[in-house]
This record gives sequence, C-alpha cells and structure tokens, in this order.
Amino acid sequence: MSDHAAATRTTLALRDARGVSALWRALDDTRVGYVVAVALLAVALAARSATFLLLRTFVDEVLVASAAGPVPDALVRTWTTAVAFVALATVLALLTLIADALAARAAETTAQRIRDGLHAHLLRLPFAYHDAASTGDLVQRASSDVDSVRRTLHKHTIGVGRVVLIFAVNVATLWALSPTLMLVSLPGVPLNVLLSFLFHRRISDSYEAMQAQDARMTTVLQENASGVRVVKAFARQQHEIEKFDTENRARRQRALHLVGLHAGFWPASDLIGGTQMLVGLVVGATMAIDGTISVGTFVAYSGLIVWIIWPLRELGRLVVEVSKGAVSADRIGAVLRSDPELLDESADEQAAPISGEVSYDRVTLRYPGTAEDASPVLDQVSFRCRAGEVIALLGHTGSGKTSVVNLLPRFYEYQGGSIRLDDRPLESIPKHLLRQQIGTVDQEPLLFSASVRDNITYGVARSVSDDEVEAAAEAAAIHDVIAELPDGYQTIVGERGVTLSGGQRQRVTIARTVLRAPAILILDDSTSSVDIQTESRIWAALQQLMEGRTTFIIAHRVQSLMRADQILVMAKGRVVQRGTHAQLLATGGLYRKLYQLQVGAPS
Amino acid sequence: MLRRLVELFGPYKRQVVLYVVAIAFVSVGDGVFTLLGKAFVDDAIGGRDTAALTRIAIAYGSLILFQSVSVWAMIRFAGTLGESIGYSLRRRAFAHLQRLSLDFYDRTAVGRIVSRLTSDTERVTELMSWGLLDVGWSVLNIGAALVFMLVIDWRLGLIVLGVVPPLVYAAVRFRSHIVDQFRRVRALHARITGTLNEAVTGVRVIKSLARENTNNTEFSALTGSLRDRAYRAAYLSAMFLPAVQLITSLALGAVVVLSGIDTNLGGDRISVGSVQAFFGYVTFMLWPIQEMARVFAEMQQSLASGERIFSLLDTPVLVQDLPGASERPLPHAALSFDRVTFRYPSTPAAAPPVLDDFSLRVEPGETVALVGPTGGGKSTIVSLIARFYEPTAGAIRVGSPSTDYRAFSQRAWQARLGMVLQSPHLFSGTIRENIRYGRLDATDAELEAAARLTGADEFISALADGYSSEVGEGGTLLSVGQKQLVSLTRAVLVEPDIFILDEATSSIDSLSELHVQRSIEQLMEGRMSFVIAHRLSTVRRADRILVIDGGRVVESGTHHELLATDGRYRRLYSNAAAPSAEVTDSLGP
Repeated sequence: MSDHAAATRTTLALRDARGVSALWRALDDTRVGYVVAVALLAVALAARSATFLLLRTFVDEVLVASAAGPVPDALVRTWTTAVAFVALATVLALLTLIADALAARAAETTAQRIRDGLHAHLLRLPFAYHDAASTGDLVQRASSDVDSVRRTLHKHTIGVGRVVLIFAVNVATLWALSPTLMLVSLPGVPLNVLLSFLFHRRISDSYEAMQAQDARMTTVLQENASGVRVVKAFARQQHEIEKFDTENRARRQRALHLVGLHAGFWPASDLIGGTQMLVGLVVGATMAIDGTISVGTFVAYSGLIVWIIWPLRELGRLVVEVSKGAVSADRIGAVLRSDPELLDESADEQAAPISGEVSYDRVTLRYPGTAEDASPVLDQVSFRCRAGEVIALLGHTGSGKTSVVNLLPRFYEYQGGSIRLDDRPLESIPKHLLRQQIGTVDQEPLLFSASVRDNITYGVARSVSDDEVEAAAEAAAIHDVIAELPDGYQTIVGERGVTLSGGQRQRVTIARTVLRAPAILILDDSTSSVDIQTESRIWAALQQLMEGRTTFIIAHRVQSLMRADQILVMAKGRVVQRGTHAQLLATGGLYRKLYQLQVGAPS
Repeated sequence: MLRRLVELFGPYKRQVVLYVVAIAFVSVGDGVFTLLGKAFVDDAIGGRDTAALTRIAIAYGSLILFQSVSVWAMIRFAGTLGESIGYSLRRRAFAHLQRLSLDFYDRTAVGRIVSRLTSDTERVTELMSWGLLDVGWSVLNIGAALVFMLVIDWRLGLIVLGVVPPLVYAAVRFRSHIVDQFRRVRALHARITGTLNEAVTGVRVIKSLARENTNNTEFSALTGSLRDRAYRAAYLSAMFLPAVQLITSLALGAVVVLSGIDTNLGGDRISVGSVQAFFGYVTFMLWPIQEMARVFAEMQQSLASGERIFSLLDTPVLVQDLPGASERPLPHAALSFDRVTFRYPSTPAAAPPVLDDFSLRVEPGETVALVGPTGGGKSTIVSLIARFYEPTAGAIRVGSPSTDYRAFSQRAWQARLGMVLQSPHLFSGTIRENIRYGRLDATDAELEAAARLTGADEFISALADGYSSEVGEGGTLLSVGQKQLVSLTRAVLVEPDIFILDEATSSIDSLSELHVQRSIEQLMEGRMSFVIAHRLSTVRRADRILVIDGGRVVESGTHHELLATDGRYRRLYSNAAAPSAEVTDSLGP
C-alpha cells in the first residue's frame, strides 16, 4: 500500500529541513502534480477573464451597435457568444476540478507517508525517550499536526498560489482593457491586504487563546465526570458548579473577543473594498461618458474589478495558515530528529537458542538526562545465576529493582560493568533476537483493541493454530473466562471492546507469554493489583510457565518470592542483602522485618 | 425538538429581532449594489448624464456605509447570541450532571459526557447563530436577486427562477453526500488516532515483543485506506463548486441568447445595464447556494447533537432529596441495614440482586472490615452507605429511634463521610487544593497536620514546590501510591463520622504501608469505619470482619475467631500468607 522508500524520504525531509522548505521537500515526487495543479489553475483563471472580454465584444458589437442600426450577423454572433461562454465556463470548471484533485492527491499521499514514517519512528525511539515524553503530546503530533500539514498542502499553499494568480491574471487583463482603469483600481488593494494580515494574525492568537480556555473547561468537565464518586462523597457539587462556571464564563469571554475581532474586520474591509469599487466605477463611467472607453469595456471592467479587490483579503488568512502548517511540520520534525535505537536488524545472525545463564558484573546505570553527580540508578550491581534458576528482587519503590531487569532486554544502555548471557556479552546479541527470547509480565497488563485471540498471539511471529491458542489460555487459567465472552476468542477487548478485570487482563498477557515460550521470564510486580483469589490463580498459571526458565521476580509481597533460589534485597541502587529465604531470615535486616510485617508471624 | 431549540432563543428575543433585521438589510443591500451597477451603465453612461453619475455615486457610497454597519451588527448579534446560548446550555447541562446519580455514570463513558457539553453544544450553537445567519442571508439574497431580476426583465427572470429551485435542491443533496463522506473520513481518522495512542502507550510492550514491523504494516494499511477515502471525499467536494458554476453558466448563456435575439428583432430591447445586472446576480448566486447547501447538509448532524443534549437534560435523577429532607448533621449513632435488597438500576429486573435481604448493624466507633471475592458485594455495601445508590427494597437506618437515611439531605449525609477509593482521583491543581477538597475552609496548618498524620507530608515536603506542587491532569505527575496518600489525607481533613476505605492502600508499597497503617488505625479510633482490603494485614485489627460473598455475610467475627473456625476466612488467609502449594513445590527447596 504505502511506498516504504517514499515514506522514509519524506520523514528525512521533515527531519532535516525547517519551515516552508520542509513542507516543500516533504512533497517529494508528488511535487510534479502540485506544480501542474498551479499551472492548470492559471489557465482556468485566464478562461474566466476571457469571458469578460467576450462580454465586452458582445455588448459593443451586438447590443450597442444594433442601437445605431441593424448588425448583419447579429444572430450568429449572439449564438457564438453564448456557446463560447459555456465552453469557457466548462474549461474553467474542469481545470479547477483537476487542479484541486491533484493538490488533494499530493496532500493525502504525503500525509500518509508522514503518518507511516512517524509511526515507525515512534516505535523505534528508545525507552528513555518515551519515559520523558508525554503520550498525549506524541499522539497529538502524529495526528493533529500531521493533519495540519495535510490541510496546508491541500488548501492553503495552493490557495496562496491561486489568490496571487487571480490577482495577476485579472490585473493583466485590465491592463489590456485600459491602463488608466487598472491604475485607479489598485490603491485600496494593499490597504486591504495589510488589514487582512493584521487581522488574521490577531485572530489566530485569539482563536488559540479560546481553544486553550476550551481545553481548560474540558479538563474541569472531564475530571468532574471521572471523579464523580469523589465529588459526591465530599458533597462538592456546588463547588464544582462554580468551578465550571468560572471556566465556562472565561470561555464565553474569549469567544466574544473573537466575535469582536470579526465584527471589526469585515465591515472595515468591506468599507475599503467598497470605496475602491466606487472609485473605479466612477472613473470608468466618466471615461465611458467621455468616450475614452466603450460601454462594453465598462461592463467588462465592472466584472473584473471584483476579482482584483476581494480575493486578496484571503491572503492574510492563507499565509497565517501556511505558517501554522510549517510550525506543525517543525513539531513533527522535532520528534523525527530524536535518535532511534538501533535494533541490529541487519545482523544476519540466527537466533541461537538461549539457555538462560545470566551474570551482572558491577553494572552501573544512569538514565540519560540525569545530572552527572546525581547518584546512579544502579550502583555496581553484581550477581550470577544458572539457567532455570529463580532470582527474586525486593526493595522500596525506586530502589532499582525494575532497572535491573530492564537492562536484560537492552531497553536501556548501562554505563559501567558488563552483563553476560550464556557467557556472551549481551551486546553481541541483536536486540530483536534477544527480545524474542525474553518474556515480561508487567504490573499493568496492557491489552490492545483487538480480539482476545489477536491479543494472545500478539508478537508471535509464526502462525498459530486455534488449539495452541486455547492450550496457552488453559495454561494461563483464562480459557474458561474467554469461553464465556460473547464472541469467545473473537471478542474485541481493550478500549473499544469488552472490559476485562485487571486479573483477567493479566492472565491474557500470561497466555501471550506462554505462547511465545521465552527462555527468560521477568515477572515485574505481576500480581500487585489483583485480589487474593485471583492472585493465587495467577501464581498457579505462572508456576507452569516458570518451569525450566530463568525467572526474575519483582514483588512487594514476601510470600511471592520466599522460595526463590536467590533473593536480592535492594536499596538505593545497590544490592544490600542476598541469599535464600532461610539465610536472610536468619540474618535479620530489611527482609526479616518485611516478612514479619506481612505474614504476621511473631518476631 | 425544533420547538425546544427555538425556546433557547427565549431570553434573547430583542437580540433575535435585531439580528434578523440586520441579516435582511445585508442581503437586500447586496442586491441593490447590482442595481446601482445597472444604473451606472444605463442612466449615467447610456444617458451621458454626469449629474446622474454623481447621484448614483452618492447612493453607492451611502450604501457602502449602510452595509458596513449592517454587517457589523449581523456578526455582533450572531456571535453574542451563539455564545450566550452555548454558555447557558453548558451551564444547565453541567448542573444537571451534578445531580445525576451514579448509575448514569456507570453506563455513560466520560468521553460521551464530555462531548455532550463540548462538540454537541458547539454544533447546536453554531447552527443557531452562524448557520441561521448563512441560511437567512442566502434565502433573502437569492429572493431579493430574483425579485430584482423579475422587475428588470420578467422573461429572463423567469428563466433564472426556473433554474434556482432544482439547483438548490441538487446542491443540498450533493452536499449531504459529501458531508457523509467526510464523516467516514473522520471516523477512520479517529481510529488511526486510537491506534497511535495504543502504539505510544503500549510501546514498551511492542518493543519487548519485537513486533515493530508487524505494527508498521498494520498501521500502513489503515493510513492507506484513510488516504483513499479522504481523497475520494476531497474529489467530490472539489466537484461541487465547478458543477454549480457550470449550471449557472447555462443560465447566463440563455441571457446572452435572449438579449441578442431581442436586439436583433428590434423589439422590446433589453438594456446593456440589464444584461450586466443579470450577469452580476447569476454569478453571485453561487455563494448563497453554496452556503445554503452547506448548512442544510450539516443540519442533520446538528439536530442529532441537539437531540443528545436534550436527552442528557431529560435524564431522570434517581437519588433525590425527599421533600423536607433534614439539613441537620447526622447523629453520631448506630447504622443499620434493614433487610436491604439492591439491584443496580441498569441491570434487568429479572437478574439476581447484588444484595438480597441483607441486614447488618454497626455501632458507633466500630471498625468493620469487608473481605471476599470481587463481585461479592463489598463495594456495593459501601456505595449504599455513601448513598451513591439507594436500596431497591428495605432501608438503611441511623440512630435510635432509627430514621431512614433518606430523611437527610444528600448534602448533609455525605458531608460527614470520609471516603478513600481504590483509584484515587485527583483534580488538576496543587496538592494543597486537592487536600482542601475535603474541607474547603481548612487552614494550611490543619491541612498540613492531616498530611503529617497520614504520612503524606514526607513525600510532599520532598517535592520542589511542596504543597504547591501541581499534580497534573488527573494527578498524573504523582505515582499511584502518592495519589492514594493525598486522597487519604483529603478524607482525614473531613474529620468524618463515618470513614470508608475501599482498597485505599493497595498501591502504597509495603514498607510505606506500615506507616500508613498505624495512622489509619489512629484515625479509625472512635469512628465508625468500613474497610475493604485485599491485603489481609490491613484488616486483621478490625473489630469485626465480615466475609461477603453472593450478597450475604457468610462469616463474621474477629481475626482470631475466624481463624479458629475452619472456614472461608482461614482459607483466604492461608492463600495470602504463602504461595499456593504448587508454586511452593516448583520453586524448589
């Protein structure tokens, strides 16, 4: 469907160029259509001006001439004029349509390329980038900013061309009719253009201010609706009504400001344009009375002058829109300018089966963007485990547990020490192959808006039979739940479908992991958000999955990890205690304190 | 429907009249300009009359001034009217939303509610201000032009009159089709935005599953169909104006032919000025036709929006204060469920009730813990106490002699509750503002004392701006655990009579929980409290533990009593205290 190479070229253009030049370069090979569209428009506009010349000849040589005496071929000339008139109108209509279609095609094609290129880029940006970026902002750039670029290409850029052409073609025609008339028709034009620029710049600011206020009002509304339990529990309805009214009032205020600007600009511009029309008509009529120009010329002139005065007041709006499109292009460019992570996809190495022996040797990690002198997230973390062992990590929020396991799939680059997998440096294994071998079950299970089946097979590269999917669901103790859903495995879940409970979602992601059969398993706080019964069901499912796999368990609850081969207690990025449950219990310290607190055993 | 829309104009009758007058002036004025153009040709130039030229020029000039004023008034009134109607619609709808009970929120997505008050309201006010303006102007403009044309030359006028109605009809039909196409484009666009949103929120999953390429291909298929559909819509839309233009040019051709024939036959000759006027009228007619078609085509959507807003305003309020409900604070007394049966209003009447003939009496100062499986009825019980819903049958009573809690106003009742929910909802603003939500007149000192009590003070003081730190939209700048601490503090500030903790500490990590646990126990001292928790460490110290399942109390007693009997609680407790036997085995010694 999409031309991959073209999408790449377009994203490169947006990355490297700025402003209007970025828009132009993003058009890539659709530029040809764009240029042809402008050329066709010029012809169409010439056709329209020609109708006025036709009218002049008809008035002078048929209507006026026949008043003086019979015109021999008047009837023939009448019909010819009518036919020519319709013919010119047809040319005008067809060429306008084709030009518009060409611009639309160029704009839509380019927009698709930007969307595809940006989407691919977003998926390649490293974890560190996504940690720092806000979801809403990225989505807005990829959707409304792209749309703004599309609109600019489709309507505004070519609109500037059209307005300028309309002016140029009609001024030229007028020059041919009478240079004097042309000159008297122009003084008001720059004034109107200037006014239009001033107005549209202000209106664009005022509009943005209103949008911003609208967003604030919407936030109050949204938070009120999603926090309705809190509002009611504290009986704060009146307070909320007042809060909303403040924003609602402010919004009306902003909107009225916008109305005021409109009410100022349009009459003023009408006044300038109208006066210019009047001056032109009076001068034209005087010249016609004098006989300097013919009646037909005056008639043609009063048609042409409309196209000289009015279209140019669009220019202000179009230029403001084009500059907004350029700003959007820059906002997209800013995302594209961030470096993607290298997935080493070119490495033709086959996925050698990983047995799962892991060693960390004095690993130090600092997240990008943190100060050099800030204490590192991980500080000299070392441990080793044999294939198939269970390593448990325990500690406060922020002690570095998750960071330890995040290094294994190379989600982040560490700064010191070394990590080895199956006695090979981790960096020697291509990222995409490495990640296929590691299965993660997170605290917040994430399902995509797709069928349950698609969610289970998500990320499994090969085609999977229904039996396999069901077997995986059975293993994850979720098959019965799925069978009860309205469309079974085909039921759409996620934002646009059936809502599953946290525990059910978690088991779907476990089924997904079962199907992928990774060599290494990471359970990052997998059961913290579910009730006890669900928790034991999930643990039963996980237990099958852990069989024969190197497993890392992060949990708050001691009960979940007391049987691990090795327990690492972490604090401030360091391993402060290590050993088995029995050893740690004997030693005392953080682990024992936590155990006694949670299990309720007497000290 | 239309009647209700018109009623919205009610408070602004005077503006509406002025607004219609302004529109009439503008549209007729436009037609008079063309008439004056004819006068230039026929009277001034044709009669070689300079005095006439001066008169016409003065008339033209005055009309320009007059038009400017009319246009100013038209924009002013349309804008003010639209904004006033929009403002009061939103106000009414929001106030109604505050009264609606939870069952409405259970079955209505937040996004829906938001769009009722934003895009739907916008569309209705747009229709009633600018839409009405465009249609009024278009109809009057075309009407005036037709009248002038008929006066100038009735035969030519009739030709145009014959063309206009079918043209308008066809234009409206065509435009509706185009609007429909664009609606589909928007739907697809929304889907793509949804996919993008998932891609960004789920980027960690996608990356860890190494699924980037498949996602790109799937996304590209979507953007491909968006491109094709958008192009089709753009193409149709691009056809509209040229098509109308072409049809009107046929009418102009007819004008040329008729005038030429007349001249040739030397009959009742058409003046040059008249021909010019016809050209002017017919060419200009393009714009009103286009505007009219646009408004009519979009009207369907606007009316549907109006329908949705009115249906929101008409949604009945289920939990209401009874007439003469007491505003006095509720007594510090026992609370009892007296044979309460409850079914969620949105479930069919035949479905089994969530609570069935449920009775319970809680003494002042008693702490009751509710445990049991999800869906067993624990949250329903506290929702009923909070009066988010009211019993379907039976009653909840307070004090002795006991009174039905419906005898109190909702305000009086809920003002004495302190509630902390599992998903801690914060409002954008500072931490201080969020805590103060519990008691609006609390001083900073009281507020900080409450925070010290819950232990929230510790993390708040560590923030750069302390209590003035912004929490972000929905509290996104804080972790879930921190949000729970803030919402706990908020409830503490109320100094409630009844304290309800629904999974209030589930996301606070175990070590911090230890601290929170102690302060919560201190808070519950002397207050009637209801605690729902999955972590049994939280419920152990309750005065009474109720195991709730299937809408009934299946076991009841203190921690030690319940452990002594071999029942549900003991099984739950041993499940929680250690991984299941299988897990234990697989982990090895």
